[in-house]
Amino acid sequence: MSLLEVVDLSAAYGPIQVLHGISLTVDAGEVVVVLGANGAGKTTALRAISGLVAAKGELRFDGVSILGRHPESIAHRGVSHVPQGRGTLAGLTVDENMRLGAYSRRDREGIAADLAEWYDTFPPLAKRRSQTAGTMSGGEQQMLAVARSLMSRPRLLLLDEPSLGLAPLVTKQLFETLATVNRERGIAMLLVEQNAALALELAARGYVLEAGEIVASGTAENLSRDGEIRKAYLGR
Amino acid sequence: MGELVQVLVYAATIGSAYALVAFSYSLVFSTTRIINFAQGTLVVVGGYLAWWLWSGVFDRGTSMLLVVIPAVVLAAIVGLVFDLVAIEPLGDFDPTSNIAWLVTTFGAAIVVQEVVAQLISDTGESIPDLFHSLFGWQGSVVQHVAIGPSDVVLVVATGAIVGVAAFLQARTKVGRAFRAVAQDRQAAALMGINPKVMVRLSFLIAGAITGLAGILIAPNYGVRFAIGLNLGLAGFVAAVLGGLGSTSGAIVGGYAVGLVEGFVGVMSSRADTYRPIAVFVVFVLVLTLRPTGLLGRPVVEKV
Repeated sequence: MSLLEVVDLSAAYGPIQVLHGISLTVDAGEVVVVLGANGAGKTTALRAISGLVAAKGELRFDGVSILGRHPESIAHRGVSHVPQGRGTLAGLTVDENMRLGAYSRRDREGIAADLAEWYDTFPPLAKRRSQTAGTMSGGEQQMLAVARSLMSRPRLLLLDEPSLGLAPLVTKQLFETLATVNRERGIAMLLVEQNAALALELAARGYVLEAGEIVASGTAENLSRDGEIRKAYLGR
Repeated sequence: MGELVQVLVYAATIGSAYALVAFSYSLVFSTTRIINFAQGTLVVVGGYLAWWLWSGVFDRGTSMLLVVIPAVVLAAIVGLVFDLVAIEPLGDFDPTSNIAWLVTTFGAAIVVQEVVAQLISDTGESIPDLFHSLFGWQGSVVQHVAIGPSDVVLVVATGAIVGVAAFLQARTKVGRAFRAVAQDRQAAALMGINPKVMVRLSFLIAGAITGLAGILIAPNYGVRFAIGLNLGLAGFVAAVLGGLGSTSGAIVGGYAVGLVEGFVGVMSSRADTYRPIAVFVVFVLVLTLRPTGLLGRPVVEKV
Protein backbone atom coordinates (compact mmCIF):
# COMPACT_ATOMS: atom_id res chain seq x y z
CA MET A 1 0.00 0.00 0.00
CA SER A 2 1.30 3.40 -0.93
CA LEU A 3 1.57 6.25 1.53
CA LEU A 4 -0.42 8.56 -0.74
CA GLU A 5 -2.99 7.22 -3.17
CA VAL A 6 -4.70 9.54 -5.59
CA VAL A 7 -7.29 7.86 -7.80
CA ASP A 8 -9.28 9.63 -10.51
CA LEU A 9 -9.07 12.97 -8.72
CA SER A 10 -10.89 15.95 -10.28
CA ALA A 11 -10.95 19.54 -9.15
CA ALA A 12 -12.45 22.77 -10.43
CA TYR A 13 -12.37 26.47 -9.62
CA GLY A 14 -16.02 27.35 -10.04
CA PRO A 15 -17.04 26.34 -13.57
CA ILE A 16 -13.44 25.84 -14.74
CA GLN A 17 -12.37 22.22 -14.54
CA VAL A 18 -8.63 22.08 -13.79
CA LEU A 19 -7.98 18.43 -12.97
CA HIS A 20 -9.65 15.75 -15.10
CA GLY A 21 -9.28 12.60 -13.03
CA ILE A 22 -5.60 12.19 -12.23
CA SER A 23 -4.18 9.14 -10.49
CA LEU A 24 -0.82 8.91 -8.80
CA THR A 25 0.88 7.29 -5.83
CA VAL A 26 3.76 8.12 -3.52
CA ASP A 27 5.34 5.36 -1.46
CA ALA A 28 6.71 5.86 2.03
CA GLY A 29 10.10 7.55 1.84
CA GLU A 30 9.86 8.06 -1.92
CA VAL A 31 10.43 11.28 -3.88
CA VAL A 32 8.03 11.76 -6.78
CA VAL A 33 8.00 14.68 -9.20
CA VAL A 34 5.12 16.10 -11.21
CA LEU A 35 6.28 17.84 -14.39
CA GLY A 36 4.12 20.02 -16.56
CA ALA A 37 3.76 23.38 -18.26
CA ASN A 38 2.27 26.43 -16.58
CA GLY A 39 -1.45 25.97 -16.13
CA ALA A 40 -1.32 22.18 -16.41
CA GLY A 41 -2.85 21.85 -12.94
CA LYS A 42 0.23 20.97 -10.88
CA THR A 43 -0.44 23.49 -8.12
CA THR A 44 -4.11 22.54 -8.07
CA ALA A 45 -3.16 18.89 -7.64
CA LEU A 46 -1.13 19.72 -4.53
CA ARG A 47 -3.84 22.03 -3.20
CA ALA A 48 -6.43 19.29 -3.66
CA ILE A 49 -4.26 16.83 -1.73
CA SER A 50 -3.74 19.20 1.19
CA GLY A 51 -7.43 20.12 1.33
CA LEU A 52 -7.20 23.72 0.11
CA VAL A 53 -9.30 22.95 -2.98
CA ALA A 54 -12.43 20.82 -3.03
CA ALA A 55 -11.95 17.68 -5.14
CA LYS A 56 -13.79 14.59 -6.32
CA GLY A 57 -12.42 11.08 -6.64
CA GLU A 58 -10.35 9.08 -4.18
CA LEU A 59 -7.66 10.49 -1.96
CA ARG A 60 -6.03 8.31 0.69
CA PHE A 61 -3.15 8.97 3.03
CA ASP A 62 -1.76 5.97 4.85
CA GLY A 63 -4.82 3.98 3.82
CA VAL A 64 -7.33 6.47 5.25
CA SER A 65 -9.48 8.66 3.03
CA ILE A 66 -8.66 12.36 3.48
CA LEU A 67 -10.99 13.58 0.76
CA GLY A 68 -13.06 16.56 1.91
CA ARG A 69 -11.15 17.00 5.14
CA HIS A 70 -10.05 20.43 6.33
CA PRO A 71 -6.43 21.46 5.62
CA GLU A 72 -5.59 21.58 9.36
CA SER A 73 -6.81 18.02 9.85
CA ILE A 74 -4.80 16.76 6.86
CA ALA A 75 -1.74 18.58 8.25
CA HIS A 76 -2.27 16.82 11.58
CA ARG A 77 -2.04 13.45 9.84
CA GLY A 78 1.45 14.19 8.58
CA VAL A 79 1.04 15.89 5.21
CA SER A 80 2.92 19.18 5.09
CA HIS A 81 2.38 21.52 2.15
CA VAL A 82 4.97 24.15 1.24
CA PRO A 83 2.87 26.35 -1.01
CA GLN A 84 4.08 28.22 -4.04
CA GLY A 85 5.23 31.68 -3.06
CA ARG A 86 6.31 30.10 0.22
CA GLY A 87 3.51 31.01 2.62
CA THR A 88 5.87 32.12 5.37
CA LEU A 89 4.24 34.43 7.87
CA ALA A 90 6.05 37.63 6.93
CA GLY A 91 5.20 39.57 10.08
CA LEU A 92 6.36 36.86 12.50
CA THR A 93 9.97 36.15 13.35
CA VAL A 94 11.88 33.20 11.94
CA ASP A 95 11.75 31.50 15.32
CA GLU A 96 8.00 32.04 15.67
CA ASN A 97 7.48 30.58 12.19
CA MET A 98 9.60 27.55 13.12
CA ARG A 99 7.72 26.97 16.38
CA LEU A 100 4.37 27.29 14.61
CA GLY A 101 5.56 24.57 12.25
CA ALA A 102 5.45 22.23 15.24
CA TYR A 103 1.96 23.47 16.22
CA SER A 104 0.33 20.05 16.18
CA ARG A 105 3.10 18.39 18.19
CA ARG A 106 3.09 17.98 21.97
CA ASP A 107 6.59 16.60 22.61
CA ARG A 108 8.51 19.58 24.02
CA GLU A 109 11.89 17.87 23.96
CA GLY A 110 11.45 16.53 20.45
CA ILE A 111 10.49 20.01 19.25
CA ALA A 112 13.56 21.55 20.87
CA ALA A 113 15.80 18.86 19.35
CA ASP A 114 14.31 19.35 15.88
CA LEU A 115 14.61 23.12 16.19
CA ALA A 116 18.31 22.74 16.93
CA GLU A 117 18.77 20.24 14.12
CA TRP A 118 17.08 22.33 11.43
CA TYR A 119 18.90 25.47 12.51
CA ASP A 120 22.03 23.38 12.11
CA THR A 121 20.97 22.28 8.64
CA PHE A 122 19.99 25.80 7.58
CA PRO A 123 22.61 28.09 9.18
CA PRO A 124 21.25 31.33 7.64
CA LEU A 125 17.99 30.76 9.52
CA ALA A 126 19.80 30.32 12.83
CA LYS A 127 21.52 33.66 12.27
CA ARG A 128 18.19 35.35 11.59
CA ARG A 129 16.13 33.67 14.32
CA SER A 130 14.71 36.87 15.79
CA GLN A 131 14.36 38.68 12.47
CA THR A 132 10.93 39.14 10.87
CA ALA A 133 10.50 36.56 8.10
CA GLY A 134 9.37 39.16 5.57
CA THR A 135 12.70 40.97 5.74
CA MET A 136 14.69 37.98 4.47
CA SER A 137 15.72 37.23 0.90
CA GLY A 138 13.64 34.96 -1.31
CA GLY A 139 16.06 32.07 -0.88
CA GLU A 140 16.05 32.41 2.89
CA GLN A 141 12.26 32.55 2.97
CA GLN A 142 12.07 29.39 0.88
CA MET A 143 14.49 27.74 3.29
CA LEU A 144 12.28 28.85 6.17
CA ALA A 145 9.17 27.48 4.46
CA VAL A 146 10.82 24.07 4.06
CA ALA A 147 12.37 24.07 7.54
CA ARG A 148 9.05 25.09 9.09
CA SER A 149 7.31 22.21 7.32
CA LEU A 150 9.96 19.82 8.60
CA MET A 151 9.25 21.03 12.15
CA SER A 152 5.91 19.22 11.93
CA ARG A 153 7.74 15.89 11.41
CA PRO A 154 5.74 15.19 8.27
CA ARG A 155 5.58 11.83 6.58
CA LEU A 156 4.85 13.48 3.25
CA LEU A 157 6.13 16.84 2.10
CA LEU A 158 4.27 18.58 -0.74
CA LEU A 159 6.64 21.02 -2.42
CA ASP A 160 5.26 23.53 -4.92
CA GLU A 161 7.99 25.05 -7.10
CA PRO A 162 10.61 25.38 -4.37
CA SER A 163 13.10 26.80 -6.90
CA LEU A 164 10.81 29.63 -8.04
CA GLY A 165 12.70 32.92 -8.03
CA LEU A 166 15.86 31.48 -6.52
CA ALA A 167 19.38 31.87 -7.86
CA PRO A 168 20.72 28.66 -9.49
CA LEU A 169 23.29 28.11 -6.76
CA VAL A 170 20.72 28.55 -3.98
CA THR A 171 18.39 26.15 -5.78
CA LYS A 172 21.14 23.57 -6.05
CA GLN A 173 21.90 23.80 -2.32
CA LEU A 174 18.21 23.53 -1.46
CA PHE A 175 17.83 20.38 -3.56
CA GLU A 176 20.92 18.86 -1.97
CA THR A 177 19.40 19.50 1.46
CA LEU A 178 16.09 17.97 0.36
CA ALA A 179 17.95 14.87 -0.83
CA THR A 180 19.74 14.59 2.52
CA VAL A 181 16.51 15.05 4.48
CA ASN A 182 14.85 12.37 2.37
CA ARG A 183 17.76 9.96 2.82
CA GLU A 184 18.28 10.49 6.54
CA ARG A 185 14.73 11.05 7.74
CA GLY A 186 12.87 8.95 5.18
CA ILE A 187 10.37 11.74 4.53
CA ALA A 188 8.43 11.15 1.31
CA MET A 189 8.09 14.10 -1.07
CA LEU A 190 5.73 15.01 -3.87
CA LEU A 191 7.43 17.74 -5.83
CA VAL A 192 6.07 20.12 -8.46
CA GLU A 193 8.93 21.78 -10.28
CA GLN A 194 9.78 23.80 -13.37
CA ASN A 195 13.43 22.90 -13.09
CA ALA A 196 12.93 19.42 -14.52
CA ALA A 197 16.60 18.48 -14.66
CA LEU A 198 17.16 19.06 -10.94
CA ALA A 199 13.82 17.54 -10.00
CA LEU A 200 14.47 14.34 -11.95
CA GLU A 201 17.82 14.02 -10.20
CA LEU A 202 16.13 14.17 -6.80
CA ALA A 203 13.08 12.05 -7.63
CA ALA A 204 12.81 8.32 -8.08
CA ARG A 205 9.68 8.51 -10.21
CA GLY A 206 7.69 11.12 -12.03
CA TYR A 207 4.46 12.00 -13.75
CA VAL A 208 3.83 14.43 -16.60
CA LEU A 209 0.70 16.53 -16.32
CA GLU A 210 -0.81 18.20 -19.38
CA ALA A 211 -4.06 20.17 -19.31
CA GLY A 212 -5.22 18.46 -16.15
CA GLU A 213 -4.45 14.92 -17.24
CA ILE A 214 -1.51 12.62 -16.64
CA VAL A 215 0.01 11.86 -20.03
CA ALA A 216 3.18 10.02 -19.02
CA SER A 217 4.76 8.41 -15.99
CA GLY A 218 7.78 6.32 -15.14
CA THR A 219 11.05 6.20 -13.31
CA ALA A 220 13.05 9.40 -13.26
CA GLU A 221 15.68 7.69 -15.37
CA ASN A 222 13.23 6.70 -18.11
CA LEU A 223 11.55 10.08 -18.08
CA SER A 224 14.84 11.90 -18.53
CA ARG A 225 15.66 9.67 -21.50
CA ASP A 226 12.28 10.19 -23.17
CA GLY A 227 12.74 12.32 -26.28
CA GLU A 228 9.46 14.22 -25.97
CA ILE A 229 10.07 15.08 -22.34
CA ARG A 230 13.64 16.11 -23.02
CA LYS A 231 12.39 18.49 -25.69
CA ALA A 232 9.50 19.89 -23.66
CA TYR A 233 10.99 20.18 -20.17
CA LEU A 234 14.74 19.70 -20.34
CA GLY A 235 15.39 21.90 -23.31
CA ARG A 236 17.78 19.60 -25.16
CA MET B 1 -4.82 75.08 33.58
CA GLY B 2 -8.11 73.82 34.95
CA GLU B 3 -9.38 73.36 31.43
CA LEU B 4 -6.33 71.36 30.44
CA VAL B 5 -6.85 69.06 33.41
CA GLN B 6 -10.45 68.68 32.36
CA VAL B 7 -9.46 67.71 28.82
CA LEU B 8 -6.84 65.24 30.02
CA VAL B 9 -9.11 63.56 32.55
CA TYR B 10 -11.86 63.28 29.97
CA ALA B 11 -9.48 61.90 27.35
CA ALA B 12 -7.94 59.41 29.78
CA THR B 13 -11.24 57.99 31.03
CA ILE B 14 -13.60 57.95 28.07
CA GLY B 15 -10.57 57.44 25.82
CA SER B 16 -9.84 54.23 27.73
CA ALA B 17 -13.36 52.98 27.10
CA TYR B 18 -13.01 53.85 23.39
CA ALA B 19 -9.64 52.10 23.31
CA LEU B 20 -11.14 48.93 24.79
CA VAL B 21 -13.97 48.88 22.28
CA ALA B 22 -11.58 49.74 19.42
CA PHE B 23 -9.28 46.89 20.51
CA SER B 24 -12.27 44.54 20.39
CA TYR B 25 -13.19 45.61 16.86
CA SER B 26 -9.56 45.11 15.92
CA LEU B 27 -9.33 41.61 17.39
CA VAL B 28 -12.33 40.40 15.42
CA PHE B 29 -11.18 42.20 12.30
CA SER B 30 -7.76 40.58 12.45
CA THR B 31 -9.13 37.04 12.27
CA THR B 32 -12.18 37.64 10.06
CA ARG B 33 -11.61 40.88 8.08
CA ILE B 34 -15.10 41.97 9.08
CA ILE B 35 -16.36 44.75 11.35
CA ASN B 36 -18.64 43.31 13.99
CA PHE B 37 -21.31 46.00 14.08
CA ALA B 38 -22.79 44.23 17.09
CA GLN B 39 -19.71 45.18 19.11
CA GLY B 40 -21.34 48.30 20.62
CA THR B 41 -24.24 46.18 21.78
CA LEU B 42 -21.83 44.27 24.00
CA VAL B 43 -21.23 47.47 25.98
CA VAL B 44 -24.94 47.44 26.77
CA VAL B 45 -24.94 43.70 27.40
CA GLY B 46 -22.04 44.03 29.87
CA GLY B 47 -23.67 46.90 31.76
CA TYR B 48 -27.12 45.34 31.99
CA LEU B 49 -25.76 41.90 32.90
CA ALA B 50 -23.80 43.48 35.74
CA TRP B 51 -26.87 45.43 36.89
CA TRP B 52 -29.03 42.29 36.70
CA LEU B 53 -26.54 40.21 38.69
CA TRP B 54 -26.03 42.95 41.27
CA SER B 55 -29.68 43.91 41.79
CA GLY B 56 -31.50 40.69 41.00
CA VAL B 57 -29.32 37.64 41.46
CA PHE B 58 -27.12 38.74 44.34
CA ASP B 59 -28.31 41.33 46.84
CA ARG B 60 -27.46 44.96 46.42
CA GLY B 61 -24.93 44.89 49.18
CA THR B 62 -22.65 42.64 47.13
CA SER B 63 -19.34 44.14 46.07
CA MET B 64 -19.15 44.86 42.35
CA LEU B 65 -15.86 42.95 42.36
CA LEU B 66 -17.85 39.72 42.78
CA VAL B 67 -20.38 40.75 40.14
CA VAL B 68 -17.90 41.76 37.47
CA ILE B 69 -16.44 38.30 36.88
CA PRO B 70 -19.67 36.42 36.03
CA ALA B 71 -20.88 39.46 34.06
CA VAL B 72 -17.73 39.50 31.92
CA VAL B 73 -17.92 35.72 31.39
CA LEU B 74 -21.53 36.05 30.21
CA ALA B 75 -20.63 38.96 27.92
CA ALA B 76 -17.84 36.82 26.44
CA ILE B 77 -20.38 34.06 25.75
CA VAL B 78 -22.72 36.56 24.07
CA GLY B 79 -19.73 37.65 21.96
CA LEU B 80 -19.15 34.03 20.93
CA VAL B 81 -22.85 33.64 20.12
CA PHE B 82 -22.51 36.54 17.64
CA ASP B 83 -19.89 34.48 15.82
CA LEU B 84 -21.88 31.25 15.92
CA VAL B 85 -25.14 32.89 14.83
CA ALA B 86 -24.09 35.78 12.58
CA ILE B 87 -20.75 34.76 11.05
CA GLU B 88 -20.15 31.00 11.04
CA PRO B 89 -23.34 30.12 9.15
CA LEU B 90 -22.08 32.28 6.27
CA GLY B 91 -19.33 29.69 5.66
CA ASP B 92 -16.18 30.65 3.79
CA PHE B 93 -16.75 34.03 2.25
CA ASP B 94 -14.80 36.97 0.94
CA PRO B 95 -15.79 39.84 3.26
CA THR B 96 -15.02 42.46 0.61
CA SER B 97 -17.37 41.13 -2.06
CA ASN B 98 -19.97 39.29 0.01
CA ILE B 99 -21.30 41.78 2.54
CA ALA B 100 -23.93 39.53 4.10
CA TRP B 101 -21.99 39.94 7.38
CA LEU B 102 -23.08 43.58 7.47
CA VAL B 103 -26.72 42.54 7.68
CA THR B 104 -26.18 39.60 10.02
CA THR B 105 -24.10 41.56 12.57
CA PHE B 106 -26.58 44.45 12.61
CA GLY B 107 -29.47 42.00 12.85
CA ALA B 108 -27.87 40.09 15.71
CA ALA B 109 -27.25 43.38 17.53
CA ILE B 110 -30.93 44.37 17.29
CA VAL B 111 -32.10 40.95 18.50
CA VAL B 112 -29.72 40.96 21.47
CA GLN B 113 -30.73 44.52 22.47
CA GLU B 114 -34.38 43.49 22.40
CA VAL B 115 -33.69 40.40 24.48
CA VAL B 116 -31.89 42.55 27.07
CA ALA B 117 -34.75 45.05 27.10
CA GLN B 118 -37.38 42.32 27.51
CA LEU B 119 -35.60 40.10 30.00
CA ILE B 120 -33.52 42.50 32.08
CA SER B 121 -34.62 46.12 31.83
CA ASP B 122 -35.70 48.62 29.21
CA THR B 123 -34.88 51.75 31.18
CA GLY B 124 -31.65 53.36 32.32
CA GLU B 125 -30.09 51.82 35.43
CA SER B 126 -27.07 52.51 37.55
CA ILE B 127 -24.49 50.34 39.25
CA PRO B 128 -21.93 51.28 41.89
CA ASP B 129 -18.18 51.67 41.51
CA LEU B 130 -15.95 48.61 41.45
CA PHE B 131 -13.98 50.18 44.29
CA HIS B 132 -15.41 52.74 46.71
CA SER B 133 -11.88 53.66 47.61
CA LEU B 134 -8.39 52.81 46.45
CA PHE B 135 -6.07 52.32 49.44
CA GLY B 136 -8.26 54.69 51.43
CA TRP B 137 -8.41 57.32 48.64
CA GLN B 138 -12.00 58.19 47.77
CA GLY B 139 -11.39 60.78 45.11
CA SER B 140 -10.01 64.30 44.81
CA VAL B 141 -10.77 67.54 43.09
CA VAL B 142 -7.89 68.83 40.97
CA GLN B 143 -8.36 72.33 39.54
CA HIS B 144 -12.15 71.99 39.91
CA VAL B 145 -12.11 68.60 38.15
CA ALA B 146 -13.33 65.62 40.18
CA ILE B 147 -11.31 62.44 39.86
CA GLY B 148 -12.56 59.27 41.55
CA PRO B 149 -11.47 55.67 41.99
CA SER B 150 -13.61 54.55 39.02
CA ASP B 151 -11.61 56.85 36.69
CA VAL B 152 -8.32 55.40 37.86
CA VAL B 153 -9.67 51.84 37.63
CA LEU B 154 -10.77 52.43 34.04
CA VAL B 155 -7.34 53.66 32.95
CA VAL B 156 -5.39 51.01 34.86
CA ALA B 157 -7.67 48.20 33.65
CA THR B 158 -7.25 49.31 30.04
CA GLY B 159 -3.47 49.28 30.37
CA ALA B 160 -3.54 45.89 32.06
CA ILE B 161 -5.85 44.30 29.48
CA VAL B 162 -3.86 45.55 26.53
CA GLY B 163 -0.58 44.58 28.21
CA VAL B 164 -1.75 41.07 29.01
CA ALA B 165 -3.18 40.63 25.51
CA ALA B 166 0.07 41.76 23.91
CA PHE B 167 2.06 39.43 26.15
CA LEU B 168 -0.18 36.45 25.35
CA GLN B 169 0.01 37.15 21.63
CA ALA B 170 3.78 37.38 21.67
CA ARG B 171 4.72 34.63 24.10
CA THR B 172 2.23 31.78 24.00
CA LYS B 173 1.57 29.06 21.47
CA VAL B 174 -2.08 30.05 21.11
CA GLY B 175 -1.03 33.70 20.74
CA ARG B 176 1.35 32.83 17.92
CA ALA B 177 -1.34 30.72 16.26
CA PHE B 178 -3.74 33.67 16.59
CA ARG B 179 -1.30 35.98 14.83
CA ALA B 180 -0.69 33.33 12.17
CA VAL B 181 -4.41 33.16 11.36
CA ALA B 182 -4.62 36.98 11.38
CA GLN B 183 -1.83 37.15 8.85
CA ASP B 184 -2.59 34.30 6.50
CA ARG B 185 -5.51 32.04 7.22
CA GLN B 186 -4.58 29.49 4.58
CA ALA B 187 -0.91 29.21 5.54
CA ALA B 188 -2.00 28.84 9.17
CA ALA B 189 -4.38 26.00 8.27
CA LEU B 190 -1.55 24.22 6.43
CA MET B 191 0.40 24.28 9.69
CA GLY B 192 -2.42 22.46 11.44
CA ILE B 193 -4.01 25.53 13.05
CA ASN B 194 -7.82 25.53 12.95
CA PRO B 195 -8.75 29.06 11.80
CA LYS B 196 -12.34 28.64 12.99
CA VAL B 197 -11.18 28.13 16.58
CA MET B 198 -9.10 31.32 16.44
CA VAL B 199 -12.06 33.26 15.05
CA ARG B 200 -14.23 32.01 17.93
CA LEU B 201 -11.51 32.98 20.36
CA SER B 202 -11.37 36.50 18.96
CA PHE B 203 -15.15 36.95 19.36
CA LEU B 204 -14.99 35.53 22.88
CA ILE B 205 -12.19 37.86 24.02
CA ALA B 206 -13.70 40.86 22.24
CA GLY B 207 -17.02 40.15 24.00
CA ALA B 208 -15.32 40.03 27.39
CA ILE B 209 -13.34 43.23 26.85
CA THR B 210 -16.25 45.24 25.46
CA GLY B 211 -18.55 43.94 28.18
CA LEU B 212 -16.02 45.02 30.79
CA ALA B 213 -15.82 48.48 29.19
CA GLY B 214 -19.59 48.75 29.64
CA ILE B 215 -19.26 47.90 33.33
CA LEU B 216 -16.32 50.21 33.98
CA ILE B 217 -17.92 53.31 32.50
CA ALA B 218 -21.29 52.63 34.15
CA PRO B 219 -20.53 54.52 37.41
CA ASN B 220 -20.00 57.73 35.39
CA TYR B 221 -22.30 57.24 32.43
CA GLY B 222 -24.93 54.84 33.71
CA VAL B 223 -26.29 51.68 32.13
CA ARG B 224 -28.24 52.87 29.09
CA PHE B 225 -28.95 51.64 25.58
CA ALA B 226 -27.66 54.89 24.05
CA ILE B 227 -24.24 54.16 25.55
CA GLY B 228 -23.92 51.14 23.27
CA LEU B 229 -24.48 53.28 20.20
CA ASN B 230 -22.08 56.00 21.40
CA LEU B 231 -19.28 53.65 22.36
CA GLY B 232 -19.88 51.38 19.40
CA LEU B 233 -19.51 54.29 17.00
CA ALA B 234 -16.64 56.04 18.79
CA GLY B 235 -14.82 52.72 19.23
CA PHE B 236 -15.24 51.97 15.53
CA VAL B 237 -13.91 55.41 14.58
CA ALA B 238 -11.00 54.91 17.00
CA ALA B 239 -10.17 51.49 15.53
CA VAL B 240 -10.17 52.76 11.95
CA LEU B 241 -8.36 55.96 12.92
CA GLY B 242 -5.57 54.00 14.60
CA GLY B 243 -5.44 51.32 11.93
CA LEU B 244 -7.70 48.27 11.95
CA GLY B 245 -5.99 45.11 13.09
CA SER B 246 -3.28 46.96 14.99
CA THR B 247 -3.35 46.72 18.78
CA SER B 248 -1.32 49.87 19.36
CA GLY B 249 -3.42 51.61 16.72
CA ALA B 250 -6.62 50.82 18.64
CA ILE B 251 -5.15 52.34 21.80
CA VAL B 252 -3.80 55.44 20.06
CA GLY B 253 -7.10 55.83 18.19
CA GLY B 254 -9.13 55.50 21.40
CA TYR B 255 -7.23 58.21 23.25
CA ALA B 256 -7.08 60.42 20.14
CA VAL B 257 -10.87 60.40 19.87
CA GLY B 258 -11.04 61.04 23.63
CA LEU B 259 -8.71 64.04 23.27
CA VAL B 260 -10.64 65.57 20.40
CA GLU B 261 -13.90 65.21 22.32
CA GLY B 262 -12.25 66.59 25.45
CA PHE B 263 -11.11 69.75 23.66
CA VAL B 264 -14.56 70.29 22.21
CA GLY B 265 -15.92 69.88 25.74
CA VAL B 266 -13.99 72.89 27.05
CA MET B 267 -14.33 75.04 23.95
CA SER B 268 -18.04 74.80 23.35
CA SER B 269 -21.07 75.15 25.53
CA ARG B 270 -22.91 72.83 23.19
CA ALA B 271 -20.31 70.09 23.39
CA ASP B 272 -22.74 67.23 22.81
CA THR B 273 -23.63 68.61 19.41
CA TYR B 274 -20.11 69.47 18.31
CA ARG B 275 -18.22 66.42 19.66
CA PRO B 276 -19.28 64.00 16.91
CA ILE B 277 -18.73 66.65 14.26
CA ALA B 278 -15.18 67.33 15.45
CA VAL B 279 -14.43 63.62 15.71
CA PHE B 280 -15.60 62.94 12.16
CA VAL B 281 -13.68 65.91 10.77
CA VAL B 282 -10.48 64.54 12.32
CA PHE B 283 -11.43 61.06 11.14
CA VAL B 284 -11.83 62.16 7.52
CA LEU B 285 -8.64 64.27 7.65
CA VAL B 286 -6.53 61.41 9.01
CA LEU B 287 -7.92 58.89 6.52
CA THR B 288 -7.32 61.29 3.66
CA LEU B 289 -3.67 61.60 4.62
CA ARG B 290 -3.21 57.99 5.80
CA PRO B 291 -5.85 55.66 4.36
CA THR B 292 -4.63 52.75 6.52
CA GLY B 293 -5.01 54.73 9.74
CA LEU B 294 -2.35 56.20 12.02
CA LEU B 295 -0.51 52.94 12.75
CA GLY B 296 -2.11 50.58 10.25
CA ARG B 297 -0.31 48.76 7.50
CA PRO B 298 -1.97 47.99 4.21
CA VAL B 299 -3.47 44.52 3.96
CA VAL B 300 -1.54 42.63 1.32
CA GLU B 301 -3.50 39.82 -0.22
CA LYS B 302 -1.33 37.15 -1.77
CA VAL B 303 -2.87 35.24 -4.65
